[in-house]
Amino acid sequence: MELHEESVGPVLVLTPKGRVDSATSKSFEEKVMGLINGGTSTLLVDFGSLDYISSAGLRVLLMAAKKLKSSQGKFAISTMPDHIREVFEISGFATVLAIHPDRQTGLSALGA
Amino acid sequence: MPNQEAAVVDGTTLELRIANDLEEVSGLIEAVEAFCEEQGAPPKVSYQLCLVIDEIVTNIISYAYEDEGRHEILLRFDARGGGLSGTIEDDGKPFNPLTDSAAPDLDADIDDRPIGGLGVFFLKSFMDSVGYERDGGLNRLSFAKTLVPATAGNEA
Repeated sequence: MELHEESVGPVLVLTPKGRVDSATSKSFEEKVMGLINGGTSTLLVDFGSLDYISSAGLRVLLMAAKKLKSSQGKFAISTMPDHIREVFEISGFATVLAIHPDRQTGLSALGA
Repeated sequence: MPNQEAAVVDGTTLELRIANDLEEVSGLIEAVEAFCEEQGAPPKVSYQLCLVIDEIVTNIISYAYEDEGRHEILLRFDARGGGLSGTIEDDGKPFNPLTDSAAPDLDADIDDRPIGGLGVFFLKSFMDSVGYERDGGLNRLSFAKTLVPATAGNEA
């Protein structure tokens, strides 16, 4: 899994490419939490290049959202493939994680 | 897939054995995904099944065994009859995830690896039926999902 990072205005956009599964979720966690602990307060995770994300990966996102929320930061996800979005909706994650249909909407929502 | 014992694919069934090693989970999920694709399951169903397997198998490897030894986990999948069903068998300590797991609180602080947690939640949310039995020294978890809606003429 590659993790592409770029800043767009105040927003840090993280684009994981490939698979976040049990082989890669630890490094995904380290990267995401490292960014937040290092001061990133507005984070958009773009799912547009994601082939698969395991529940370990979803937990990382829940952790990130909670951490940012408690420090008045902002977190959102964009460009979710339909099959992943349906899982988010069924499992109730959509009520705790902000999801936007595309990157631009996500960026606007986060203040870019 | 190193260390993964031969997958048996017989038309519409798949049997996989893995060792109790977290490093085998990633390859296992890819095999399940490939099977779903071959059987024409929609991407949503494939993803849901993979999440369930990923979480359940990870929990087994992490919590089921009280020794340091090598154990095998046996997974069987069956795509006959317009559905997707399967079983996961392990020889770990008796554990019924359907009754012995805590429900996840999505709002609470989440441990790295809660027992039960998301796996059973996904299992119950995504599958049409789930079952558990203790058979000799084995835990056997079963699940099934209908892919083809019943229409007049093919109801039993």
